[in-house]
Amino acid sequence: MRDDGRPDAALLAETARGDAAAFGVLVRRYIRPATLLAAQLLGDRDDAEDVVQDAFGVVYRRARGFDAGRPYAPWFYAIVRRLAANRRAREARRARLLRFFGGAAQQVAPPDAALEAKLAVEAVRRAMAELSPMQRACFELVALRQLSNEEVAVMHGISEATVRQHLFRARAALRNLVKEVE
Amino acid sequence: MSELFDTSRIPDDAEHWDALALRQALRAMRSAGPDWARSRAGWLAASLLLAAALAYGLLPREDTRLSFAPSDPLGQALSNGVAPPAIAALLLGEKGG
Repeated sequence: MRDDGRPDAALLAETARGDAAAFGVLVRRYIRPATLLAAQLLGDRDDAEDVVQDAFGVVYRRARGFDAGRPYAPWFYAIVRRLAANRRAREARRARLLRFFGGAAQQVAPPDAALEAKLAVEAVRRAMAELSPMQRACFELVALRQLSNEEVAVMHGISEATVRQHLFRARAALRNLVKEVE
Repeated sequence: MSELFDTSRIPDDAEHWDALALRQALRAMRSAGPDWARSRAGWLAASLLLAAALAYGLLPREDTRLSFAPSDPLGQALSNGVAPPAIAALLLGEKGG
């Protein structure tokens, strides 16, 4: 599944013609940002992988009808976000039902509770908890996962300027928080 | 969606993504049935088509039509003939027969 740099639209067209290798390249190109996005939205690795797999299933089925004039990435990330929202709504309904019937809803530990990173990273992460959700999400993807502002904007369906704004505020807040800790 | 989680539990090395991509591509292709099977409207359309096909299958065919044809000469002539019989022949035949 070596990425030979073919445009997304070409890979999708070949997928529609039944080229499994082209589909493999497309999946490999997007699996990392899509999984990170789904993990941010769901907070669980298995759920995130399930949602991303479902999203690739949608892509595979709809490849034939995809309008090659449209950019692929916003369409794909919109599918990931919609499937993640559906899953979250389903989980919320399930939790409400469990509470209603007296079952003890399983207490899920906060995602960063078992963090075993180095001390400096831990300090940053603790400070990150103080950020707004979108500031934290943008900072994490750009600063820690080295995705570009543009990619993060498309992933979350916001403008690049908004990503820059979140990053600016996140960095300023983190600088202050880390100074306080020191 | 107001709540966003951190991704610190997601491994981030190329081998992990390669393996996950391969697994997910295969599963996505395997699970990809026809589009209609995944929507309620698709199921409704498919059910209607199936019902129509069954109804068509139950309609009287040529052999059943013949077996239900009247036994009198006029009924037989109307049912079995390739072309409708001439009125004169029918009238004369009836009178003469």
